[in-house]
Amino acid sequence: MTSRRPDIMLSTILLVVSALWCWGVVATIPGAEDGSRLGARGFPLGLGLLLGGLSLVILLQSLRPGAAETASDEAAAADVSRGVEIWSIATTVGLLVGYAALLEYTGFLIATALVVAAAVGPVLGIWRPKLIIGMSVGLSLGIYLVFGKMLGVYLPYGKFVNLAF
Amino acid sequence: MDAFASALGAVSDPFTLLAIMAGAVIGIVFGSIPGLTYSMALALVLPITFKFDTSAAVGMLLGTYIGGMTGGSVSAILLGIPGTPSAAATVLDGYRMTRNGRAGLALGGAVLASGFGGIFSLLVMIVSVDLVARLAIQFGPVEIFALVLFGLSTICGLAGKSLVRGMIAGAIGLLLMTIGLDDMDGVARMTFGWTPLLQGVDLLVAMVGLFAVPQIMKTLIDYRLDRAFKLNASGVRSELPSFRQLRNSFWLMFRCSALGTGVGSIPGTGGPIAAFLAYDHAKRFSKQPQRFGKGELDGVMAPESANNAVTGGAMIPLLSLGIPGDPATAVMLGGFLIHGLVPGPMLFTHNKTEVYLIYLAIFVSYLTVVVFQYFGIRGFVKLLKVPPHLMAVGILIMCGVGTFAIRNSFLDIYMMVGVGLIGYLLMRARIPVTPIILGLVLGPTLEREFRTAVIMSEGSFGVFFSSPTAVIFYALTIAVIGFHFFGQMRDAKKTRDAAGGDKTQQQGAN
Repeated sequence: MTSRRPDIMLSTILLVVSALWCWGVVATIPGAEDGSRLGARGFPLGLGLLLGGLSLVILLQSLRPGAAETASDEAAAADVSRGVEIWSIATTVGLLVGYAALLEYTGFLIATALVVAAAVGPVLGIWRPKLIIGMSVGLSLGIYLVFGKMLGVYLPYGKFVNLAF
Repeated sequence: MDAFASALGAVSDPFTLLAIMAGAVIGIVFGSIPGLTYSMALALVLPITFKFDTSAAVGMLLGTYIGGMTGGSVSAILLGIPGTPSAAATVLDGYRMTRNGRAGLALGGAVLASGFGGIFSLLVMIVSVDLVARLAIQFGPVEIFALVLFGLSTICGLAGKSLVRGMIAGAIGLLLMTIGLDDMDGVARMTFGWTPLLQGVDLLVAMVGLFAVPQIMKTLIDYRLDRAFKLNASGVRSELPSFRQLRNSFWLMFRCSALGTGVGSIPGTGGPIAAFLAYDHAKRFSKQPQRFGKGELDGVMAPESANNAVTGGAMIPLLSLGIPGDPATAVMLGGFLIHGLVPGPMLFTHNKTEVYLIYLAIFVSYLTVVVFQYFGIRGFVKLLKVPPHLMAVGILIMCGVGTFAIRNSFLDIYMMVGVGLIGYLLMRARIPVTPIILGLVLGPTLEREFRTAVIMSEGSFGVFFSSPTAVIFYALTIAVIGFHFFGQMRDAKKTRDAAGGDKTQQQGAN
C-alpha cells in the first residue's frame, strides 16, 4: 500500500480545517487592544497558518514524483480489515455515548450495569450469564463503593431513576 | 528543616501512604498489561485525586508513574511483549530467561535493578533540581518563552518517524488550548457564541480521550481478529540474584543508572532510548557478550536500572523548569497544576514542603514497587490472564466515570469521546498524539509569556533577542530540530538506497 492517497486526503482535510480556523479567528476574535500588537487574535491566527503550512508540506511531499510507501508508525502498521475497524470504532463510540446518556437519566449504578452487560454480551458476543452478571454487578458496585463512598468521588445521579444515593 | 519535617509528617499520614501505594499498584498493573500505558493510568487516576489533599494526590500520581515504569518488565519477561515501550530492551534477555526456565530470577533481577535505578536517580535529582531552579529563578517572560519554546522542541523526539507530522500534532494541541475565554483580553475565542465552550477544552478530558479511547478501539480490533496475547506461565515466583551476581553487576547498574538519569533529564528522550543504550553498553563492556540475547541476567538488569533512572532524570526539567519530557510527565504536570503546584523555579521558594514531599513520595513509591513486584508476582501473573477485551470494558467505564468527575459535566464525556475519535483517526493517519498533549500543557504559558514580553517592551519584538539566556534556548531549539531533521533525512536516504539496491538486484536476477 502506498502512503500517497491517504496523505493527500489528510493534508487536504487539514488545509480545509486550517482555512476554516483562520476564517473563524478573523471573523470572531477582535484585534489587538492590549498594546501587544498581537492581542487575543495573534496566536490562534499564527497557529492556524502554521497548521496550514505544515499540511502543505505533507501535500507537496505526497505529490512528489516517486513518493511511495513510507515506513509506518503505530496503528497505521496494523493490517486491519476495514469492517472490523469500523465496527470497533462504532462500538466504542456507541458504548461511551450510550453510557453518558444513561448516566444522565438513570444514574451511575443502573447505567454502569447496563453498559457492562451490553458490552460483554451483545457486543463482545460472550453469552455467559455468570460472567455478564458478575462483571456488571461487580464493576458497578465496586466502583460505587470504592470511588463513591470511600474516596468521595461524585458519581452522577439519574434524572429519572435514582438508586442508592 | 521545618519544611522537611512537615513533608515527612504529610507522607507518614496513613491516607497519603495508602494513596502512594495504591498509585504504585495501579501503575504496575497498567504498566504490566501490554496495551495499557501508564500515561493512560495517570490520566484515569487524576480525576480520582480531586477530592484528596495535595500530599495524597501528588503521592498517588507519583506512585502511578513509578509503578508504571517498573511494571512494564513483568510482561516483557513473562510474555515477551513489553508492557511499556521502556521495557522493550528487557524482552531481549528477559523472555529468553523465561523460556530457559529462569523467569523467577529475571523478575527478581528486574525488580532489584528497577529499585536501584530509581533511588539512584532520585538522589541525583535532589542535588541537581535545586541548582537548575536557582539558575532559572532569574528568568523573566522572554526567558520563560524561550524555555517553553525549547520544551516544545521535544515534540521532535516524540514525533516518531515524521517531524512534520509531529509538528502538526503539536500545532493541533496549541490550537485547541486557544479555544475558550482569553485570560488577558477577556474575549471569547473560537466559541462561536456557545457558552459551554467558554471554559475551553479541559486538559484532562483531552488526555483521557487521547490515551484511553484509541486503546479501547485497538483492543476490540485485536479481539475480533483473535490476535490478543495469551499467557501460558503459571506458578512463577520472584527470585533474587545471588550476592556474587549482585557484586558483579553493581557497577553495571551504577553506570546504567547514571546513563538513564542523564537521558531522562533531556526532554523528548525517555525510557526506551535509555534502556536500549544501557543494553548496548552492558553488552559492549561484558566479558561474555556472546551470552547476550540468550538469557543473560545483566541484559535484564542493565535496561531496567536505566529505564527506571529515567524517572528521576525526567523530574529535573519538570520540577525546576516546568518542562515535561515525555507523555507521562506531561500528564503529571497537568495534575500538579490542578492541585495548585506550579512546577518551575518558584516552586522551590513557594512550596518547599511540597518539594520535599515529592522526594519522599518517590522514595516510598520505589519501596512499594519493589515489595509488591517481588512478593506479588503471582497476582500480576493472574492479572495478565484476564482477557484484554474484558479489561477494555472496565477501562471504558473508568473513562466515563473519570471524565465526569473532572467537572461533573456530561458534556465532558461527549467531548472526551470526540477527542478520542479524533485521536484514533490521527493515529491512523500516522500523526502521533503525544505532541498534542505537550501543546495543550505548554501552550497557555507560551502565549502568556510571549504577550507579556511584547506588552512590557511596548510592542517591540526585539525584546526576544535581548537576553543571552533566551538566545541560548533558541539556539538549542534550532539544534534539536536540526538534529532530528537531518537524522530523518539520513534515514530516508538509507531507505531509498536500500530500496534502490533491492530493485537493481531484482533486475539483475531477471
